[in-house]
Formats: sequence, structure tokens, C-alpha cells
Amino acid sequence: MENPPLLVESFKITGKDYEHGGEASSQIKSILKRLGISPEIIKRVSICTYEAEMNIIIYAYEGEIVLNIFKDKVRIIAKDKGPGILDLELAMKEGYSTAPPEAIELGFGAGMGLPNIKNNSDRMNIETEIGVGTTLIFEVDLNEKR
Amino acid sequence: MKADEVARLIDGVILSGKNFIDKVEVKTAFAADLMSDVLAYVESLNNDVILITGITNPQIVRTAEMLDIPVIIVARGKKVPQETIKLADEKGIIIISTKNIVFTTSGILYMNGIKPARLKPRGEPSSSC
Repeated sequence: MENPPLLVESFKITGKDYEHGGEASSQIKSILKRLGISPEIIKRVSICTYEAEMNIIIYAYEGEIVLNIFKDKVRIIAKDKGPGILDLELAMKEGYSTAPPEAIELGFGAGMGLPNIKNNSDRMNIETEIGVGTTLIFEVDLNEKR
Repeated sequence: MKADEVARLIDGVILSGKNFIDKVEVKTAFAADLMSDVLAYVESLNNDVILITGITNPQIVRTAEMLDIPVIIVARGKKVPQETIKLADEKGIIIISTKNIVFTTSGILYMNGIKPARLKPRGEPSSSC
């Protein structure tokens, strides 16, 4: 059995709210910094969290990002109400995207998001249901040297 | 190289971070309009990377923030919106605007000793959890 997290914080995300895109990730980054976690780990968590946050903003109606900090790892749960991902295997491929033009104008939506999260985290899992939403969970270990 | 020297070399206008630009040291650069590529490729270990871009929305500052990139150059004389400058001020990130295109900006900096940013090793992708 896993021990309960030492710290839990959650952040509401609104779909299409491009203006505030990155605010939750920024706050999570500050929390990790305050806890004295190493800059390299913080960067990896920040990259993944920011991509997950932008995904909710680009694709979903609303969502939530929950930060769980354990003794040995950081877990982020990004859960949204949205259209779901039609083809998960395709979505995991670099360069595949269904993003609208406004996301591309912001420098996102080029099909790098999920592969980026996979490359920067130690563990990742996605569950998606068409017409209901998507839950993405990823973990970054605190002690591992990559 | 100090960031104020960067601004001078590219004939840039400093939009944020005027007060501390002479204290920030930069050594490498990465040019992209795709912020996901910045997040995917740049190994920002020493916080000395310049991001050269042609887009202007606040997401360039957020991306720099996530990677501890201290300096953003907005090329092609693009007008940078106030909300982007305000966020950069809050986050202590320098924005320099230049009329030069990305190619020229990169060329000038390269000739003056700025190196390509270190790229992340494309390591083992994570397993599932």
C-alpha cells in the first residue's frame, strides 16, 4: 500500500482560457521550489505540468490539476471534462495533433505535448472516454538521477 | 556574455528586466516559434539560455519560466502585447525586441560567441503508472 501524500493541492482550469495558461504550472513550480526540490526535478515536473495544463485549455471544457507530493515522488493528476481522445496511440505520436488554429498561434498544438510528458516523467498513464473526458496521471521520482 | 551586450549587438529594445539586464549572463541560444519544441528540446541546466522567437503571447514567458530561461528575444520587430511584458516583469524574465529576423539575430549572436543551446538527451520514455 502506498503511503498518503504529504501534500495535496488542486487547481481549477478553464477550457479556452488561453490568457491564464500556465498559471497553475507556475504555482506548482513555486511550491516545489519552496520545498527545496532539486531544480532538475522541478524542471521536469514543470514541463509535464505545463503541457498537461495547455492540453486542458486547448481541448477540454474544464478540468483540474492536482499535485500530490510523496516522500519519494511527485504525482500530477490532470483530469478534464471534454471530448476525450479518439485515438490514444496516434495522440502519443510526435507530430500528430488535432489542435485548433488558435492553439498553434500560441506555439502549441504541434503534437509534442503527450510525447513530451512521457519523455520527462518516470511514469505516465492516460484514461480517456469519448464525450466524457480524459485523466492523465504522471509521476516524477525525487531521488532518481536521469 | 551579459544580456545587455546581447541587446546592444542585435540593436534591441529592452521591454522588461531593464534594472537587472547587466547582471544576467547568457551563453547559449535556441530559436523556435513552437513552445512545445522549446519544452521538448532545450536542456536548460545552467539557466543561461536565450530563447529567440517570433511569437509574442504570454506563453513565451511561461515557457521560459518553466525552463528557467532568463532572456527572450522577440524577432522580426513584432509588437509585444502589454500582458506579455507585465508577466515577464512579474517573473523577472528579460524581453528584448529586435527588428532583425530570427536568422540575422541568430547569426549575430553566433558570430559573437553564443553557442547552440544544449539539447536534452532523448532518453527512455516513462513506463505506465
